[in-house]
Amino acid sequence: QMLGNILLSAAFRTQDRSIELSDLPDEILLKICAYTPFPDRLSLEEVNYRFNTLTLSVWRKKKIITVPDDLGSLRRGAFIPTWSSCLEKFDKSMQILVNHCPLVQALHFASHRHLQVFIQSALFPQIQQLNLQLKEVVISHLYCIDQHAVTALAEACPLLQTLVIEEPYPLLYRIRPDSMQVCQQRISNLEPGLGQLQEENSR
Amino acid sequence: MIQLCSNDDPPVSFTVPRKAVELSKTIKTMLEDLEGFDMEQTPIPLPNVDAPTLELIVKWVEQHQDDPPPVEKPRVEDDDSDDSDADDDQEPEVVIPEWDKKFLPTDDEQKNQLFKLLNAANYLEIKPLLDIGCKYVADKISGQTVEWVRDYLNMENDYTPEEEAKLKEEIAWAEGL
Repeated sequence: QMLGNILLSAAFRTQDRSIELSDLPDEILLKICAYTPFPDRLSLEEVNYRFNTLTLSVWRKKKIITVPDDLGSLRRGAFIPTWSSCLEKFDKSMQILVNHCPLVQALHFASHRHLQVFIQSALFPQIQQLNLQLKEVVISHLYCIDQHAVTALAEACPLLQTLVIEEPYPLLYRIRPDSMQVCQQRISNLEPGLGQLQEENSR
Repeated sequence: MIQLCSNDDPPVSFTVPRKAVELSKTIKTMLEDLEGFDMEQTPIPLPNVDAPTLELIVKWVEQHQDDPPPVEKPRVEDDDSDDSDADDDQEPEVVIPEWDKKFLPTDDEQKNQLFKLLNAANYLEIKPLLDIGCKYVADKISGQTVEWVRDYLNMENDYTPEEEAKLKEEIAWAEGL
């Protein structure tokens, strides 16, 4: 009963009054930011200082950049029709993404329904320029890759540990000789079925 | 049955099945801590929740009391050591169920009630309710102009004209691509 009285005495501290979203705690606004698609998060950044800080904190948690999806989503509803048109703007838009996402460790080249993605060596110097601390590159669809391309990729990303090919044959390449443990851990995180470990980095 | 009291003067009391009220983590923890007390005879006051909001909360928990418990993602303590392929920038996909769509106070004149509901769901730690409410607000904001968002959220533009111009310049690339 005493406990009830204590709780009741606290109950009247806050009487009914109108509440605006600006009165709500940061954790609620953060959740709203996190549910907001990327282009609209940019609008939120413009709302005021508080939203700017909160939206930036959401971006800061991002660890994977997916190309072209993340780039496309920044174009406020526009759809990137081809891989080349994405590459054309790659460095400029990627730079902004990277500025927003300092923790990014992985780059995922995703294929669209009508888009067969082949990684292009011309892209590697651009990746290098971005100074990303990439530990992993994932290519969703790739029929073949040669030693030269893997070496170029490893040079462009000095911290790169693994290269993952998702389709048509799931493969995981170990880029650094000392990254076996990373590979094993990565395999256990992958979907069942993607379990082959390619010991050497050429095929 | 458990009694919940609003913060009104006089307080309005609602009697709710224990199973339903335990959807609130805050109240569930309180009830567990007070095991041994006759909580059916002790009304629980909710200092941050007024009667109309509490009524909505009660309606929601009663509707969802038989839902399977949400699967909680294990918390990763050290972000840097997380080598999983999960991306952490966005909340998991939330689909607002049909019943909840009708339940949420979504009319413009009910905006204040929606914000009170979010506040109460946060205070009472009813995560699924908070999730659908926040998802609704995020969807509402999507595709709107900055001015519209400011007006909807009732937030002042506290940038100086120079800061605003600089910000617009920084993100202009997104418009111009």
